[in-house]
Amino acid sequence: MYCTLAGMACEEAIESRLRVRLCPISELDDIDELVRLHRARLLRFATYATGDPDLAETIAQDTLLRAFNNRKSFRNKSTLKTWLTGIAINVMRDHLRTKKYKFWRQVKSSAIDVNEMASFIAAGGSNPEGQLLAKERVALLTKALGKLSHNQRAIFLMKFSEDMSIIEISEGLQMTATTVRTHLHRALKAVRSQLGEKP
Amino acid sequence: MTQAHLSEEDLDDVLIGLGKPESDAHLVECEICRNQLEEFRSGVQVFNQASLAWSEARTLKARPPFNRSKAPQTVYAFVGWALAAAVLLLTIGVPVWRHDQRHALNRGTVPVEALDDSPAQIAQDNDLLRSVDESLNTSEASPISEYHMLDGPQPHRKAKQELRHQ
Repeated sequence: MYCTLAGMACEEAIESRLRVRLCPISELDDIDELVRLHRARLLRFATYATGDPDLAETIAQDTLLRAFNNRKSFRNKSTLKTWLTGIAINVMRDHLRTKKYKFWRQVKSSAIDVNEMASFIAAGGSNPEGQLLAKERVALLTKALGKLSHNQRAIFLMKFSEDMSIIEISEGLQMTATTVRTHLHRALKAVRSQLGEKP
Repeated sequence: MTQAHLSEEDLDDVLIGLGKPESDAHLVECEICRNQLEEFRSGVQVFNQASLAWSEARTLKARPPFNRSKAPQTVYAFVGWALAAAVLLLTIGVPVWRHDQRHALNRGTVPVEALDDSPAQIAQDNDLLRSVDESLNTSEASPISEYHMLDGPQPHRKAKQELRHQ
């Protein structure tokens, strides 16, 4: 997988947009490029997978640091997205496993603010009714995801938000494809029934 | 139309990407089933767009922590060594300094026995004290004496009574 070169001069950067000058991740010298390209996506995944935006920030940061430190070990067997998501899942497991996390989870946990999330819906061309409907959908889906088990939620997000195949998900989670399919079916059934309900 | 409508399981299979050829054929003809799928897909799409925009906004806010990785390692190393040196200086330097101060004070203090006055000096001092006593004794009478009051420490009660009789 490739990403654009970091630290280029302005003119060179403009030129590179036309020529699309690329370098492999293993040759990256600066973590900023990795952050710029993948942090938002990892943060979204971690936020919905854990249901805790504050913890998701830590997970996204740890994932990128771990990926950058181990960039030499990346082989082109899978896509960079799959590789990063796999690291994120391991980081998430480490965090969820620690006693310290369990304690703080009981003391304080930040929840996803559905209204805040819905305020980011693109206004592009839709009428106020459409906006309201979209907000309702986001709220319903967020609520539905919150009711899923940890594995179901992660698999649902990997499939429908990260656009990963069953094989990629099974590699990332180290599960068989059959198990992934079972989780996905259950998650989909629950989410679709929830979406069918009125808020 | 191959069948009435697709079952929930069939719709899920299509959404997962494991749809049967019969299901695909049915969807070409059935608008109701197509709408059901479209409704789910559009809902997920809106959710993905909103959640990604939200996380991008948070990413922009949270960029500074990663700048730490760009800071030159030599600066951190220098600060670390400077702190270590300061701690070493405090742990060793302060006790040594305090020890030196104590010795300096001991050197500065002169023992009382060392101030040994000569006999001539003592005699001179005694003469001076004697002359002071004499001058005090021969001085003018105190104004209090006019009132026949005792100038000095109060006598005992018996002595007071004797004075009254007199």
